[in-house]
Amino acid sequence: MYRSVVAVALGSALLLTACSSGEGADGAGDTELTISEVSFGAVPPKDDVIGQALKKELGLDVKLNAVGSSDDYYAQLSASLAGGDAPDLFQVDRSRLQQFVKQGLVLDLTKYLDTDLKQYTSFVGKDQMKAAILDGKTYGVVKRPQYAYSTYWIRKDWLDKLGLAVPKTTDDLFAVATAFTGKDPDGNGKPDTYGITGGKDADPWAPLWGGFGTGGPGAEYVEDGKIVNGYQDPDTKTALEYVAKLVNAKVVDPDFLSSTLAQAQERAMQGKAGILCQSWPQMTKPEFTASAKKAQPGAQWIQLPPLAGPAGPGAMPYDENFASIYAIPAKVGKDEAKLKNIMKFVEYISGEAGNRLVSYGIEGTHYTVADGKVKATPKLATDGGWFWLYQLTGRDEGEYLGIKFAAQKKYIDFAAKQPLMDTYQSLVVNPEGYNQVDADRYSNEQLVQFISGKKPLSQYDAFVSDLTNKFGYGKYVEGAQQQLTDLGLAK
Amino acid sequence: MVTLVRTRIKPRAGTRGTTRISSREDRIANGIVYLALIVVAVVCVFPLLFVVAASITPYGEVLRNGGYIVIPRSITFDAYRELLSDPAIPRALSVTVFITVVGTALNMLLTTLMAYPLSRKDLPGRSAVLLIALFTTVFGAGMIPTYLIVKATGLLDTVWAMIVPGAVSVFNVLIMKTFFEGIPEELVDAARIDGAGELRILLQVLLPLSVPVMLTLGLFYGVSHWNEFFQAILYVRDQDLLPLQVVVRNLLARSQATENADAVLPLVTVQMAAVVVAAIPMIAVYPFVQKHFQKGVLLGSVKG
Repeated sequence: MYRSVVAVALGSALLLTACSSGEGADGAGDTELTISEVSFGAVPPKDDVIGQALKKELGLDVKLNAVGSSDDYYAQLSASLAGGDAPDLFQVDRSRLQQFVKQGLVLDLTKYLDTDLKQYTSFVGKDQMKAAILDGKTYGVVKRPQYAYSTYWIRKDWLDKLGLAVPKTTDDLFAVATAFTGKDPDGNGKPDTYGITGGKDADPWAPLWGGFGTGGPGAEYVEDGKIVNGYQDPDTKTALEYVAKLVNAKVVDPDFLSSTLAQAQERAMQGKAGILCQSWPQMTKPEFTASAKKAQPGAQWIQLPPLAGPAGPGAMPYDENFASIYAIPAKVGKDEAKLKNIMKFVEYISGEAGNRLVSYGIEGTHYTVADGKVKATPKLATDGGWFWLYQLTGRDEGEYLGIKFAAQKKYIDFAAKQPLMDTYQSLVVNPEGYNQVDADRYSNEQLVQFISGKKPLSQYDAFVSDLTNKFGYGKYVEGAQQQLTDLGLAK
Repeated sequence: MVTLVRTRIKPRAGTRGTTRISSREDRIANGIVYLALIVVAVVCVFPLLFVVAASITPYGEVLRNGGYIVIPRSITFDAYRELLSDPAIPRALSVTVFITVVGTALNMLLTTLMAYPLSRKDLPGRSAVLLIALFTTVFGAGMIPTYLIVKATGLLDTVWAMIVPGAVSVFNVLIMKTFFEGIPEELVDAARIDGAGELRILLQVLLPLSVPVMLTLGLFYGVSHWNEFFQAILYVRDQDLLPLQVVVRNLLARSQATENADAVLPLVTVQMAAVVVAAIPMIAVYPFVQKHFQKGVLLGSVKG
């Protein structure tokens, strides 16, 4: 008897504390606005000048919760969403957004787009906003896409030394890679160089696919008004034959299957390879080039446009919808004041003054304005590395990069203006019954075997049919077709 | 974690050189054993040495050599200077030290207080309590229910969220309970005849005999606190309360941001320095606790 009384008492005490602390959290801080996002290690400092400016301008206490890696971020997010204390604005990808929408955890913003979110709508544009549309409703704000950053980079000094022209076609590239491997471009008398290097965490062949008329394995793109899947496109097979030819000719750094892109770049900087697909920030920002110059003083890296191939001029596959989505939890719908505050914030950072704040910081400290043009002060480069965390709706990419990275302008423009081939896989939500992890593992394994010549490409069609039938990829392809057509991408 | 077992063979007094004849075969066999052990030791130590070497080699040197060399030709502590100049690292270090010290103390206190009664066979309801405890090891609450409890108890966003939810490990309680049960009943009886109460029996009879198990479990708990990561990710938002492992992970995560124009990527040397700072303290503690791992349980407490 006594024991059961104690048990009941303890249990109800627990319930009581649960209720009271729940209420406390909801009532506290009407002006507080919490944002959660993946930051790749960037963290606003203690002296958060942007947060202070937002407080002054909007009267809002913006609290930024920046989580280092996306795995950790989504673990935290799903716990807090289920626990009922989700942040007011949280970053999410399209697949997870759909999941949360199904569970009723996300607020429908459709009716606010032309009223409370007018500024945002005109800043981001209807075309980009489709990334947050599911079943015709808008469930989040979208970040404006950034430019394409990656291209092939090649050692110009090696080309010159061997008397070769800058490669324009895939055949040229093969010849150059062969020469880089066999003709001792560094002149040290040792066969210690490779043509091409790359890592497993990025596609080393991306600039090649377009020339073969494909967006690459796994991509979704439009060809003649139809949605095409990269695995099922017969052009992919031709492209893989070419890649396998490169690998079998031993002109590719064999570590490309095991190392990361960062490690591959390190090897390239050591003079072990002459061609690499990498983004301009990695190749041209002074913190890299300084130490790279020390290692290979004569190295001169230049960018290559996508290579032309059998299918015509080259194009770099680029999925600009990869931009992030920020969603608002459904429970905020009941809290009118809070919702207004969130939308006020989104509107502000999408407007001229606000976007300038989150792009360039504080006028007079981080930038100056002359003739209506923003000019960065040296402080922007040293202190502004985390401002982008506040750019939830993005930025005017061209102006931003031009101002912040004036010295890299040439490389930025080159990568941004290269011929691009739009791909849309980030808009596709996995249909039910499709296990992406299994399918990815299988297809990656098989691709490695094809590329490394362990399996002849005559078996490629059998692989695609296995992938489609045994791994549920057929459902994905159908789903992609349907979803992308619904978004108006196919005729 | 690498566990090195050190055995010392002491020749018995007076026997050396007289009765013990080491034959050629013996020496060869010994040689092979030592050789094998050296190889194993090198295999274990090499990755560590490599990380340490990478953290103190100047980055320019790394690129020039075409990779890292185990014994760097020149040494620089720039990587450590850069690492520690980021105020997040010392702050995270103090958080980690706090949860390791306070958390382990709390763990040991609670574990002992639970293991001792459970080790007494005359405790009423002993098997029921044991069953309940065991039940939790088989059926855990799962991530979200645990989160709800942490939230409901107001621990969210405090250091205690990283200490309280795992305050007692059932597995460790069972180890300690078994250890206590191995101590002869006669010692407890003798103390009781001398008029000792339960607390005195625990503190003055059992605990002095339990140094090996205390140190071992203390190390288990300590290491898990030092490596605290997942609970911090789930329950802590405040940047000032993040433990070292999370901050180090954030630092390493920066190198994934290749498509971010603003990201300042840490050099490999700085990443390695962070790994060293995060790993060395535990590695340094191990050898001191090591000797208790294999120490005999009861060194002559009951004679005859």
